[in-house]
Amino acid sequence: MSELHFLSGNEAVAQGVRLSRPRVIAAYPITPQTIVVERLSEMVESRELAAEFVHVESEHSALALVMGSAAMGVRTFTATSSQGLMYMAECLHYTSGGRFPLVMMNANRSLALPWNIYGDQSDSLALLSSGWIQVYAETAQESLDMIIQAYAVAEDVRVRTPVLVNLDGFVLTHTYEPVIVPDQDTVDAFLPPPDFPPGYPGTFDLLRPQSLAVSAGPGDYAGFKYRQHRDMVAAAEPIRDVGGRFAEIFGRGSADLIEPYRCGDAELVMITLGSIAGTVRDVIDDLRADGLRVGLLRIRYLRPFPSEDLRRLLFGPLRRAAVAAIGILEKDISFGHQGGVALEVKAALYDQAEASAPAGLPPVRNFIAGLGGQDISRGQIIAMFDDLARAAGRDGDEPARSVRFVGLEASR
Amino acid sequence: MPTTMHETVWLGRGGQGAFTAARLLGLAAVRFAGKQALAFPSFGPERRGAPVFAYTRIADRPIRDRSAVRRADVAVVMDESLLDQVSTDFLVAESLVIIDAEAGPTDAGSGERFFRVPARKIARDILGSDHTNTVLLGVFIGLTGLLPIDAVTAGIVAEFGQGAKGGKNVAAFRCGWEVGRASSETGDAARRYGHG
Repeated sequence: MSELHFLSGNEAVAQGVRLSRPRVIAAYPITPQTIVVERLSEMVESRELAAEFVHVESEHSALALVMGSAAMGVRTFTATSSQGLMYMAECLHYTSGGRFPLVMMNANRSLALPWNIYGDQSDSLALLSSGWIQVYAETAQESLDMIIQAYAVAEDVRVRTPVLVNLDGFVLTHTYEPVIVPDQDTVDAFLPPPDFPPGYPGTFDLLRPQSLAVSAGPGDYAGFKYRQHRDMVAAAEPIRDVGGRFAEIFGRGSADLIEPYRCGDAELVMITLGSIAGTVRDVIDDLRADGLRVGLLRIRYLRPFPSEDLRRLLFGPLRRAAVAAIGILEKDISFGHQGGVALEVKAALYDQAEASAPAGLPPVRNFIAGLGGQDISRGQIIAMFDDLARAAGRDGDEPARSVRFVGLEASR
Repeated sequence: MPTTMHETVWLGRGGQGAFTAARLLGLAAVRFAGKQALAFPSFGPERRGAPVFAYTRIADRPIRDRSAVRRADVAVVMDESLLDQVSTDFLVAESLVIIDAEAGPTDAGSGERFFRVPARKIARDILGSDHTNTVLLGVFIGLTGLLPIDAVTAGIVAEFGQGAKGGKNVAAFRCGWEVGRASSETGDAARRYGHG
């Protein structure tokens, strides 16, 4: 029987990991991820979870260790945050290039300097091109559910790409909320066994020696990278399958890489990711009650980036109103340019412009907020929609600043 | 639809159990009263003795707003000296403020929004410690009727277990509840803040 609990995001992740039965766990504690590691070590100690828990001296070693374990053909887990993710950066590319089906939780936290332990999304955005699938949870429940689904996606033999499950530091990792913890039997039936099947690609053992993690010269290297990219793009389909199957069995969750909310007839659309989507939903309901046609697109997966889904949701034939302005709300900045998510969204819009020219595209505004744990209030989100309404009414002659640091720069 | 969100701010010092109280209230609401809740601490490093804020949001519908609490329906102050030391912008004219104080209980019937209760004395008598969180949770529930007493009792047992620790904390909670309940019967606190 599944049970209703009152858990933090970190505890929900630990429960999701326990239910997925990894054989090897290696992690180095760092705020705000620490509770995940603590809970898992307790579970291993009490034999609630039959796993090898390895204390390592650094995040770099943690990821290297689970990579080696996966090469032996077993399910693994690790978790990190912020500086820890940066410290293991080299291993992120190594593991994705080696096509090891790893699952890692990241507590999204700011990057030093200045030193700051609070939440923002600078850490995972900085490693968007590391070859890992990236998913962002909105709630503790979705965090638990995504850990389980991440194993099904990563280990799919067509995918064999590691998955990074992101939770907003503190706002999600440290907030307690209702979480349904599934029963073990249902999860066992949903996931393949934690020991990979004999002959699973990218594994070896004493009876089946293989050369793994190879070198490749200029001729072969490009081919490896092409296949890595091709399979990551194609992973969207297994991701939808796994999400759909999860929803069928567990009765919740989304199969979509982008989740729309009151968006089909919205003229002003906010695009965001992670837990701030909840507050945006509340604001949208309030503004809708006042007659404003506003909506939300919550990006769940930043890799593979769901360009076609985005274009269909913004411009597709099923829309009941044209989108007049788009906002992108994110907790990071690519210094000297724009927010990392805005760059992603705009790249997809350019493809749309090619397809829909000369109709043109609606104005886009990029809102940078929540850096280093800065609270994002309902009032600030209402002001962002005000900005979008003004952008929609603009005649196009007046130059507009497309990036705004919320709380630091006035709108215009 | 009028908003039915109830927001509580717990104010204490590291080690006093402010966040445990915030979490207990949410746990009782979710697991034993069929309600929705969020509980979260003031984010950051944890240090014994440093000011700690903790928050509980309770509603009948799923709670999606994760922004900071800007307006407390109830504030529980576990160390009165903190009121002069930290920002209390979340206190508004309608806030009920429950304060651990040597003197008390004060009479909520006077319309006074500050309710003083000797929680530490009660905690020492019943728990043999200075942990006032279950006592103050009892005062809070007694005054407001926000959750059924049985739901919170079940939450305390779920948290502290069936043994001596659970039993003592249930007793501390019930003692606080009696104090709050007695005052709410003479006053309007229950009408003003109650949802029960």
